[in-house]
Amino acid sequence: MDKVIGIDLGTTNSCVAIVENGVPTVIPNRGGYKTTPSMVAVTEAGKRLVGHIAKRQAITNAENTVYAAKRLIGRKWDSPQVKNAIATSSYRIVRGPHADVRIVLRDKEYSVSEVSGMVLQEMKIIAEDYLGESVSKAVITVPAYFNDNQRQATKDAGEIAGLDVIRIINEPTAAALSYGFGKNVERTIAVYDFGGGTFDISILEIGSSGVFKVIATAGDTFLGGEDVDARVIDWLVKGFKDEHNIDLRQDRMALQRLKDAAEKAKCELSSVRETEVNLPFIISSGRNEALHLQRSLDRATLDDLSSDLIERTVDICRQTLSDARLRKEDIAEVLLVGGMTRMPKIQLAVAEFFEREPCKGVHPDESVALGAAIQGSALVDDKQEMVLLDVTPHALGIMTQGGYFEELIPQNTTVPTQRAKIFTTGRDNQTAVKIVVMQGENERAQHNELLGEFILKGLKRASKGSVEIEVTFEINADGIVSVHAKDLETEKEQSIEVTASSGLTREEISHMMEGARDYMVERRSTEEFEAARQEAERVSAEIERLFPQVEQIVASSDFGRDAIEKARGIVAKTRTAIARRDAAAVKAELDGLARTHRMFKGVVAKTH
Amino acid sequence: MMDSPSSPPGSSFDSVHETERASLEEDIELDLDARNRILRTYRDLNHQDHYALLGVDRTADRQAIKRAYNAAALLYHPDRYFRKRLGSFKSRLEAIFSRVSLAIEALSDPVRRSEYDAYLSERDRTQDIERALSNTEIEVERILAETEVESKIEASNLSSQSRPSSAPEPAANDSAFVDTASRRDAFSRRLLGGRGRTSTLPPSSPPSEPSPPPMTTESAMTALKRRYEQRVAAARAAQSRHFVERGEAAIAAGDPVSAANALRLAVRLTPGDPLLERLAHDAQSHAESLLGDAYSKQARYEEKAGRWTEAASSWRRVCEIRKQDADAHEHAATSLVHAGGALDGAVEFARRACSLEPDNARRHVALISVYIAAGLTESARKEIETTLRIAPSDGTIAEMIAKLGVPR
Repeated sequence: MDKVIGIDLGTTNSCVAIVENGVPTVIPNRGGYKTTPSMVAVTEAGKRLVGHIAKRQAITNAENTVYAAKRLIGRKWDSPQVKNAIATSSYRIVRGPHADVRIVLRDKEYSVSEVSGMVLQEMKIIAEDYLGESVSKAVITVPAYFNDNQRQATKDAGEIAGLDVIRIINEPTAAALSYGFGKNVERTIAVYDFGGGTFDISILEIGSSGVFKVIATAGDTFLGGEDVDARVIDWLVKGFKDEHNIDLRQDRMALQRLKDAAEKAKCELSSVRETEVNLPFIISSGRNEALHLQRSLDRATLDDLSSDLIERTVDICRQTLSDARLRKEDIAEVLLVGGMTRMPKIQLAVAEFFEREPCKGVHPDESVALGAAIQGSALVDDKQEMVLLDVTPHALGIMTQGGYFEELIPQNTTVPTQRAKIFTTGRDNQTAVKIVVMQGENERAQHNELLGEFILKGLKRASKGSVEIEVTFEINADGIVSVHAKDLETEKEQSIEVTASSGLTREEISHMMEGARDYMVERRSTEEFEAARQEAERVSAEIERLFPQVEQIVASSDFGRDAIEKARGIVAKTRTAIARRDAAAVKAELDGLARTHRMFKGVVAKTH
Repeated sequence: MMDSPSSPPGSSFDSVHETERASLEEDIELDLDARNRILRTYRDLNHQDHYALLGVDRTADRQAIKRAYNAAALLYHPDRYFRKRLGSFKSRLEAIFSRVSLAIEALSDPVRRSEYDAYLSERDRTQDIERALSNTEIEVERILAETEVESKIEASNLSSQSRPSSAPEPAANDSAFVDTASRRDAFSRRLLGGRGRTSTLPPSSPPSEPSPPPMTTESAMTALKRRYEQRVAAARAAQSRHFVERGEAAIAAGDPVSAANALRLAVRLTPGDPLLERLAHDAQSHAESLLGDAYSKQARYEEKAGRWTEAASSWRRVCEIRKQDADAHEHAATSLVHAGGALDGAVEFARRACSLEPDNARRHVALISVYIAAGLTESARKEIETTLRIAPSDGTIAEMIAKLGVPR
């Protein structure tokens, strides 16, 4: 049976897991870390860095290091969230050919899916290194409140990374899976997921038979830990401006340092009541004088700075509970997911609202990836009796005359689902209708998200209102939206499987996939080379260390002198191969080196 | 499971059977048990209400319903067949799961569930009334047959009592009177006054009572026949009285259906009684009006749920019962239009609605839209002219006509 990995593609950090022998397990990376920063950088030499090494050089290479790409994925250029990101990010964000968003690194433009694809590729490599075999199938998680465009773009990212994304599932649902897996419980739970870039609240019913059913879900795709960091940065910047009359935001490197420091301080304040933000030489004043930033931040101030954000999450919880038509007493358990839920103020707010202590049984950073792995395993193994019934987080409908939005599938409808409605023409002798597919809750179409559009042609010429067009919306188990329109009289039909309107074309995706494959090849060969080089250099150094002794011992023997000449030759050849970065040549010398080393050791040993 | 060895070739049952058998042999990734289970469920899909589909009682509590739904989800959710080759079973599974989803949506919300329960009990009532009214014919035949049998028994008993004799009587069953040969035997035995000549009893055995003067066969038979008919009439009258009492009790108890049944039987048993016939007729009308109400309610629920074919059928029944109900006829017409298919029936209903209420412009507007839907543009135009003459200044009507547009 195929192995399926579960990937939590987080705003700040990502995590990968797999179900091994029935046990869901997080896969650590080479450094032993269970999560990997969702960061990508390109060095001056044009080398791609992903994860921890990207983070480590983020400050010095601020302009060419991308973080929080998840805040941009699937969004249109003219959305307020993108504008906000442009104002606060240290890397360049520009407009793409489909009115979408591109990121510029070292003067090259990348689509957001491509950049996220790089992070996914890194997680794929981590899994493959651990398992010792190649992996292609994956389940990737997204915030529950992501719209269809954002989901499609995430799926594209997976495809670019060379993954067969068998399912996209919602993060809170994944956490619930990891909570309920293997437990024989029947209860209603709430999942409060406050991550780096997004907030979600989901209410689920866990059935003892292995059925997980989402009742209601809501959230905010632009509310997360990064916003709390931003509040701290604002506070530091303002304080500095008041003192020195200099806006630190003007300097990309300073901004990046501030960001780093704010995040660190925030995290520290979860365990201590006061911490120090210390950034020496943060910027130079106009008079060539170096300025320093040193300020202490206490928990109370942090709580104040973030209180309205926390309030907002509680409001969303209240609304969702009402949408689910449940009371607080009906919720048996509250799960906390996402790094931000480590903050004491948030834990308090959640406990206060739900009138119970949150469950400590799920790991806030790992449960989502574990849940994704569990779902992946259940999909490919039909002996596993488990079914996930999620809902569509946004209503789906079409634009009607006058710019109104007519809902066909309401919010929080269980998927897969299918609904149909009959519409008619607005003008006499109209022979075609344009079906504009949208997603959202606003009654004015322009405030909702455009998913796609198509034209149904060949209608009979008739007076307006007399033509009957049946529009059927379908969301399948993969969450893919397809829309079907049929003229009831002529029986003419037209369907589309909705693909993101501001997304990448198939050609672009193929091209990016090639790029990813090339990177893979280069990366593997580099790793191979590095491994061979290290071994070769180690043995060479050993040989060279023994040279003087051996030379002395075999000085009198012809054979001995021959051997030494040969040894020198091998070492020299190895060095050349290393300098040429010729992995094959280096590997070819390893045998010879090993033999020489053995021989030398033997000679030296005999004499003692 | 039905077997149909003798259904005609090409019948719809046969072709379903064929398709199913072919499905069992498809080369797909589903084991035989699963295939049979899915075929069975799919076959019953449209005959089952939500409760039956989930396999729960109508009185099941929310938890039982959820559990039943969970069990169904584990069996029929598409994810349980992820990326498997399913062949013809794919669409079956989708249909089944779609129905299961509809069922849980209707039953898990208390308000919607009570609406659905009300609809189901209306439907049950309607079916009960229908059945009760149609069973009457069978009842009548049965009762008539019973009264005949009983009468025969009584008649035979009475006749044997009126002629005491030591001679053994032939068995008092109706075959004695139906079978000419044995009747003759019985007579001959009487006339001979004894069991037969083989007896060796001395002639001085206890003397039998003086036998009545021997009767001719014919007059005996006529007498018997007369007595039989008298008995039948008496029995029927008694039964009829019994049913009239029942009917009157039912009327008093406010159960017009039972009253109608009982009184109808009474009329069959004792025809020619004008008062009785009047009573029976009134009770029948009352019962039918009840049926009409029931179907009307059912039809409105079905309209609301968008089940146009069922609604059209229910409205049709209302129209059969309430032949003068213009509103019902209009609804029947519009339901048929929504349901799709051939619209001749719709045109008929809409026309009837108009002829029932010729001054009601709404009926005409309905007819216009039916004409348009049916593509009868000439008729539509003429009808529009007619309607404008009836209500030239009515704003809403004019708006409706304008919205429909003037067909070329």
